[in-house]
Amino acid sequence: MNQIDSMAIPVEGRMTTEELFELKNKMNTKALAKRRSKTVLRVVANIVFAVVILLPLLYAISIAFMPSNELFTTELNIVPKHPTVQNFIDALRTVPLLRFIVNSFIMAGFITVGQIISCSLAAFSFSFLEFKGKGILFAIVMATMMVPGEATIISNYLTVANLGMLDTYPVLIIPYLTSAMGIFLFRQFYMTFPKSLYESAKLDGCTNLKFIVKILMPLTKSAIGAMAVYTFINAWNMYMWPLLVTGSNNMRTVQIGISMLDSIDSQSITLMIAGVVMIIIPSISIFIVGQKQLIRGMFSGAVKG
Amino acid sequence: MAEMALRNVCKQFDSAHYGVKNFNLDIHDKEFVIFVGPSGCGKSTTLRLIAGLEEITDGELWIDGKLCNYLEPRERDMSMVFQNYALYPNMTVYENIAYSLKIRKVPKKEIDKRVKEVAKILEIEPLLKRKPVALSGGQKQRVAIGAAIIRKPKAFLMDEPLSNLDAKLRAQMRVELKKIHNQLDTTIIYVTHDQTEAMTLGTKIVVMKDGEIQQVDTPQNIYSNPINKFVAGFVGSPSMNFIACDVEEEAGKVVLIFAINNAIKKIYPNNHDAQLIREKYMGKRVILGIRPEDVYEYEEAKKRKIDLNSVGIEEEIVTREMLGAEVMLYFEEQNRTHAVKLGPENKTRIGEKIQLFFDTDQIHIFDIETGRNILYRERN
Amino acid sequence: MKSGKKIEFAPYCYLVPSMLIFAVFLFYPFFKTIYLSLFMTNKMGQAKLFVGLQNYIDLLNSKSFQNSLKVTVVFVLIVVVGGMLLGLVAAVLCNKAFPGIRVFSTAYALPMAIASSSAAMIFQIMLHPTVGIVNKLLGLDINWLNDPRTALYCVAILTAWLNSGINFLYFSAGLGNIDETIYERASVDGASGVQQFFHLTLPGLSPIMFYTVVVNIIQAFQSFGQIKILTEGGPNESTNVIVYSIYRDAFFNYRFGSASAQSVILFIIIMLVTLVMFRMERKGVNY
Repeated sequence: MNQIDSMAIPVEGRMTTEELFELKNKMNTKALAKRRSKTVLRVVANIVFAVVILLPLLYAISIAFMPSNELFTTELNIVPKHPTVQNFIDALRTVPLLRFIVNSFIMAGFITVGQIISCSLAAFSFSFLEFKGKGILFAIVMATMMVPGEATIISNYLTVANLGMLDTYPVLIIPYLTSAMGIFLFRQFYMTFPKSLYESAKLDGCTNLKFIVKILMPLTKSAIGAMAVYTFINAWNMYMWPLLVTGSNNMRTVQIGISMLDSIDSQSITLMIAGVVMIIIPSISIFIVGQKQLIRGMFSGAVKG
Repeated sequence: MAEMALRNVCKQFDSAHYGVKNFNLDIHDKEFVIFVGPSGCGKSTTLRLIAGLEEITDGELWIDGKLCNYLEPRERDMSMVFQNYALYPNMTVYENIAYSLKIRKVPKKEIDKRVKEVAKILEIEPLLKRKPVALSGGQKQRVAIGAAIIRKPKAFLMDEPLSNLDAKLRAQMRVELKKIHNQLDTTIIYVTHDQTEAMTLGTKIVVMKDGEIQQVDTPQNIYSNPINKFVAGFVGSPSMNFIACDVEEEAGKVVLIFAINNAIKKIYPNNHDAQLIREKYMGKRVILGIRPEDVYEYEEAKKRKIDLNSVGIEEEIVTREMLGAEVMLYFEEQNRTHAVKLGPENKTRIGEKIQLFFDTDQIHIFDIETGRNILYRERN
Repeated sequence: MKSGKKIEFAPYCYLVPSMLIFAVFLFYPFFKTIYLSLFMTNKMGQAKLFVGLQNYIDLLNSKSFQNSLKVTVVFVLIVVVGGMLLGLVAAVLCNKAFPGIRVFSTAYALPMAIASSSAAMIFQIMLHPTVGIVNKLLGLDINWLNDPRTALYCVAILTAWLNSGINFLYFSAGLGNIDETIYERASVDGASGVQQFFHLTLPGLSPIMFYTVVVNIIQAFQSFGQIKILTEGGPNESTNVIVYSIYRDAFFNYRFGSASAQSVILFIIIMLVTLVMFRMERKGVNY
């Protein structure tokens, strides 16, 4: 390349082409090394921190595959020497784990769908329609976010107990069919649409319901996705309410059912952890699949609003 | 203060894409250098290479005789004004301006004195306690400039600082920037896509396109002696008219002929004959360039003693704009609209025809393939 | 608009599903809780004897409840500070692009997908005095969950870990909202990386920081599953946070009145904290 020739123009007249070339090479290597070490440092720091964060999960997976006699040593046994799936089989045999999983899916599924429907309807009304008391009603909805679940859970328990609804699916599902956060999230999204969107749809003869289903919901896929992931995971992980209102194996959800494995018998530790790993898998899978949706939906809407 | 030299500087984004290619430039102390060009031409990238915000892929950047390619931005001693102002949102105006001094551990008293000075120059004294969010665009812009000029760096780098302002503010800030340059007596490197800003502010203009320098010269020379068709077309408003012509010989003289609608129109390049013959353009097709302000109607042409032996060309006017001090007339030729700037006394209406005379001293002739200005005069 | 005075019913119809649920499972029980808190109740939770504020007075004088309050404050402090610190470190580590960033950011957010009960059971094994990895790694022999001095820290750290996932997302969003060019300007201005972090990044996070603190406090106050599984309030009531105390009073001791009074107190505390935080925000974060 004749670039080197033109480089020969010594800027300050103190340097030959070779010297310049060498100097540049030296600095280039140095800069490259610096940049590399920065990246390496960042990756290493991340690996260390990720291991710390994931330690409980990694440990659980390791224990789940460990034969129970291997656990009881004084040495550091991080990885199972003879991995086995026996723990999973035993766990499924000891408690009706599949039934619990089905129960949890039913409960979380209905809650998710129900919240999406009820919240979009309410948010639609709050953002596109004009009516008396709109401001106050919205403020009331928002205020419910401040009421801790514990402030209502006793009365709710007494109510459903008196109604004889204990130990049924509806009692698990119905109280959670709406959420203030969902209404707020959807409203944030709807507010970004111009009112003319609604008005022109009306002029085209679109009914309100048709507008919600055909126009609003497709436009807010990311919010719905975020909401679905968030709601499903939270419902799947619910603990106190199912603990109070379910009593039989037929109705228990995974989070309650799994603690049945938590017996005094310390020989069953590996079995219990295997069960825990099994019930974590659905919520983690949904989270990993829906993570992008969740982040985009929850934060882009909130930021715009 | 600084002497800067860029030697064959390249910024390669990937194997095929160059942001900046073989950029060679000397920047002397106290110059007001303007990088100008259409968006994506690499002007901002070049500025960021100088600032150290992007890494130079090849070539050298010399500052005061020191090779600076790999210096961190903070080691380069420059200050920069960004297009979006980049004010620190959590700091007041005062803190924003003082920041670069504060991290250099300048004594508080000194900082206070300098901030007040700068605020006075820029007339932002009443704003010092505000946060950036409470400022208008023009005010933010002043604060950004204030934060830059509080130090005495080797050079000020400005990346389209006026592009977010409205036209009136922009004109006002142009004047002030010029004033600041004189007051501070320092090097400014300024990026803009606006050729008016370039022409009015710069002492040296660098016209760029597709990552490469087209021409480096004073505003006057860029305007009157453009190196190629791109520079000629980029500078000046409305831009230069381009008409494709054939170079022919007629009775021992060179003539540029362009024909349309069966009417043959001719221009005699007069003093440029020799150049065209020497460069072997006889019988070839070229592009004739003429600025709207170098075209006259008959009376004016006669008054200016413009060689009238060429027949004026007759054109039909398609649009007319009265601008007060002048009248813009537009005609169509070779499917393009061309502009003519005439005195306000001209009364030609749309649809009417007018005889136009080109000032042949001011014409440019470009190679049709390369766009090179055949009549470009090398400077010594 | 038609003849003017006619009230449109349609807008309210869309609110009915949500409002009905809120009314039955939130407003009604909320007021019922307040009502119950003024009564002595029988084992069926029926209000039997009006005692006015006696439940509250008894509570505030009871050593056990005072302990609960103290434990809750310590617990909430550790959870909020710890959870936010974990989230912040993760978000800063993941702020700039580098190979593998996607994997790491998923890892840092992951705890939010894990149930408190599942996490508690894993921690139970990790903290197991003989087979647990914590004692093995540290070469210690501590019965973490049965020692009143350590039990509270253990459940608090577990809760901080659970909350760190969503905190990471909050902080990542906050960092993403900081204008990239202010860092460029700062580096030209001469600021080092550390200076940039303290002068720009941390203040730039303050709006989201505020929101995160509020959410974290509210969440921490309501932690239940992990305490139920790991310590059941013990040992020696050292982890008996208010929520657990409510649960125990209501469903073991069948003292619904007292439990309701505790619920109301919890509500008041959360409301006060939220209001104070909003006050502070109005004064502190103003951009």
